[in-house]
Amino acid sequence: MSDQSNLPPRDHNAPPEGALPLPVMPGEATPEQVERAQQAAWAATKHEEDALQAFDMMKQAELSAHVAVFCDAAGKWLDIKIVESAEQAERLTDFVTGARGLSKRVEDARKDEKKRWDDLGAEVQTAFTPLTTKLTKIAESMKKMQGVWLIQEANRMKAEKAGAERKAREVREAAEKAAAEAEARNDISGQVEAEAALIAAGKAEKLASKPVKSQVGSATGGGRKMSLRKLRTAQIDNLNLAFAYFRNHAEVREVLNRLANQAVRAGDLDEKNASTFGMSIIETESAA
Amino acid sequence: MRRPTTATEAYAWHRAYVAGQNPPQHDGEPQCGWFKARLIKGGPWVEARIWIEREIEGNGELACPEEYRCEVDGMRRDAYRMWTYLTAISKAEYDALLHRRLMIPEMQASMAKLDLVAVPILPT
Repeated sequence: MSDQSNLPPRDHNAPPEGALPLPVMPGEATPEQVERAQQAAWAATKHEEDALQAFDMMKQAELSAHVAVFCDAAGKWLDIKIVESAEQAERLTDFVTGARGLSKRVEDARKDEKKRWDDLGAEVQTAFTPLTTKLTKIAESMKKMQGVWLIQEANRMKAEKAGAERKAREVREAAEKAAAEAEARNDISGQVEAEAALIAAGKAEKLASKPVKSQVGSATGGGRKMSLRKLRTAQIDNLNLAFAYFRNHAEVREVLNRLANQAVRAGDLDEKNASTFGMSIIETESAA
Repeated sequence: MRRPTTATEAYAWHRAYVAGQNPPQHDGEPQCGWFKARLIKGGPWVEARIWIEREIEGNGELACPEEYRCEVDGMRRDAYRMWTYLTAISKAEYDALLHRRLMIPEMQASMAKLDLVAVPILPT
């Protein structure tokens, strides 16, 4: 046996009595924990032979067990509430590194599982998107053609309506004039006839003033009726005035904040020039 | 005996409708004219017409009461029952519809829902 007399006592490395409790490092989930999680995952599946599994349940269960262990450890870390020693801080660094490592493993597994679906999805997109694009283009072109016809029809109907209104007005004015003349010469028969003509003219005027709508029905009966639709949009002519109008909207502040953060990161905006543009640079620190 | 209804009287409602005068339209009171209708939901337009059938004696008077007759898609139907489902169209539109039904084979199956996806409708 070798001489161990010059070695330090066995408990030289043990923490002193009354020292701060140190949270345990989580480490890997034990094989028992992994097996239990996998058995639970297997029990939860439908066991249909031809059932299409979205992902590898066993792999997910294993990772889930590891995550559960890290969650427990995180709870222990939160129990101590505050880091009180350098050693605790160093252990915390390792714990965070471990959690990040596990997060990467989970993320890699997720990407790996999702990739085959993404690839299949991309194939579906490649196969179908051109078809819908073509049909959308067809609909757009045809709607444009139909729009030209509808506008032409609307103009024709408007002109017809104006003509009918003018004619009805002239008839009414003539009837009014005839009624006045008949009244002036005490012609009862003429008055009655003029009143009847006036009623007829009023009806014709009312009919002519009816709003007209340009629309195209279906030739076969199976299609949906098409008509002109008004779409009202705004065009910004004076950006400053438009900004003044919307300045109190939360979205405007969000957009400006995002642009300002980009400018700060790019170095275009700093302590020297920020105040010129009504901004200030705020520095906050967090562990990373 | 009564005198027969003149064509001007019989078609007055149809003339007013086609002229956009929106004449009153009541259930159970059919009016003579040319119409279009769908026999099933989503089906093709079919032509329809309503006319008056009567017998006129030598002296120009009615031999029997006038009867409304209705023909939808080439078949005799009850004018009083069909009236609710008819949309008045001009005689020119009626003739165009007859022609179109000959030109577009899908329109000939009047009791089948039109599938405009199956065959594209062409300009002519």
